[in-house]
Amino acid sequence: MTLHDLAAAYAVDALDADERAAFTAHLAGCSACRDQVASLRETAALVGASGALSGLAEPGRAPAAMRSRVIRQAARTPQQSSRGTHRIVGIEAEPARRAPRRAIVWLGAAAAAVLVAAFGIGIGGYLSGSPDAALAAHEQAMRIISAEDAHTMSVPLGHSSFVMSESYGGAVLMGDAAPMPTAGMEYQVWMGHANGAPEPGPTFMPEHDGTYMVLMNGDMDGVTEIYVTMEPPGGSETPSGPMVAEADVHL
Amino acid sequence: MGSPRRLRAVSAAAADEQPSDAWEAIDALPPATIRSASPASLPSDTPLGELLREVAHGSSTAFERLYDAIADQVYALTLRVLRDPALAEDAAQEALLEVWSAAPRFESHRGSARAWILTIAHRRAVDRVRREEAHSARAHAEHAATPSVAPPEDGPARVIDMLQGEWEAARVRRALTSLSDLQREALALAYWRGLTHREVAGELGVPLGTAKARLRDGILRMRELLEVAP
Repeated sequence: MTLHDLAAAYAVDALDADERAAFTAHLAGCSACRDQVASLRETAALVGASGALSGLAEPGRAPAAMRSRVIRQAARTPQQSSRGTHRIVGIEAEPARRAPRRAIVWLGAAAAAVLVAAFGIGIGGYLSGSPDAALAAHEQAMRIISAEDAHTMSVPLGHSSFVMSESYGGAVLMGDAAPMPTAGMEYQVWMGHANGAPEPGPTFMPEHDGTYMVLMNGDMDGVTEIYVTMEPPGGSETPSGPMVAEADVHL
Repeated sequence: MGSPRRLRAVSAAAADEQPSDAWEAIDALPPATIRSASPASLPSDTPLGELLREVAHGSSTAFERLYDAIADQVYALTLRVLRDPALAEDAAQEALLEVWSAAPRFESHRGSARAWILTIAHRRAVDRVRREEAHSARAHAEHAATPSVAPPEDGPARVIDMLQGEWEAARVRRALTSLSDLQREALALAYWRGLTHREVAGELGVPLGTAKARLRDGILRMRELLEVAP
């Protein structure tokens, strides 16, 4: 069998991790396989929706409590850009729930937000890789780092640095050799203030080599510390998971 | 094929019973239901696709409607793979959040919104089931899987949804009868138990090449059968 022949197994997630990675890489350059996978996923979805062969006739409906949890988490989970293989994270403006004195906004997806590591799980065939978003985010990060008033603090998450610029109104947390969070958890950035509750920031996952970058855009006035916790996917409203790293912000 | 006509008739009858709510309910009915009841080959889920496009632009109200349209299907899928309500809920939640965050990458010309969403859900469920803890949790849950009970919900939208689902499921089951036993088993082991084709080979006691070929032939055959207008 050639790599092309793996499309069917890929469409039903029957490849092991290595094969999946190899085939995902192959997909990027093979439009025939992308088409094949797309149409086979329609078939797989029909099987999946039917429940046929599953041996479980009546799965019941989704738990009612799940709805508000998902909606709430989505409200503070930034969306990916439409292109590129990187995941965008950022802080979303939520005036209703956030302290009114600070307005941290996350950059629009198309513009250049923030980015971090790709999902460990890609959705292969539907993605067309483009470095545009990554480039835009790196450019933004460079502007922050090269700002006149940029302050850099080291953060003990692998080898990480937090760089903040008040004049630019943004900050970058980036590093390498960051360990992966516990399975099923994501990292989340928090910004602490002298008074008041910590402000929830974006969630992120390092790449396999431990590199990552999180970009935040907004008013940095009054931030006294930043820290990283492990949280359930999508992040939390207030820190609930174990503290992973913290750093005081000295201006 | 009479099914599509029957679905329309039910939709009209249900609307008659509840004249005050009917339009609202049908309007708030994003999934594949009414339009995909047309005798087209694959479900054209335009309403779901439209919602997903709105979600891609950051609309939280669209996401709520999308949730209402698809969450049950997502949960049913993860539960059928994971066999444990708590794990299934976790995986469904992860999948739905991924739907939100990855929505800008949905490419409608490449496939339906539902397939895109269920693909994400299946991937999440399979990844979870392959983790060690899931295997042990699954072993415990094997006999005691008690599907979570959700309140019954009536109304035309729900009725049409169910009929649509039954109609589709019947097509899938009929198509499955055209597969060989080995193809069917390979598909069930891969899709529902989350086995890799290597594990499928072990489970069926056949060489890896045979397992790969059976799985592939089975899926391709299903596509062929389901693509043909019912």
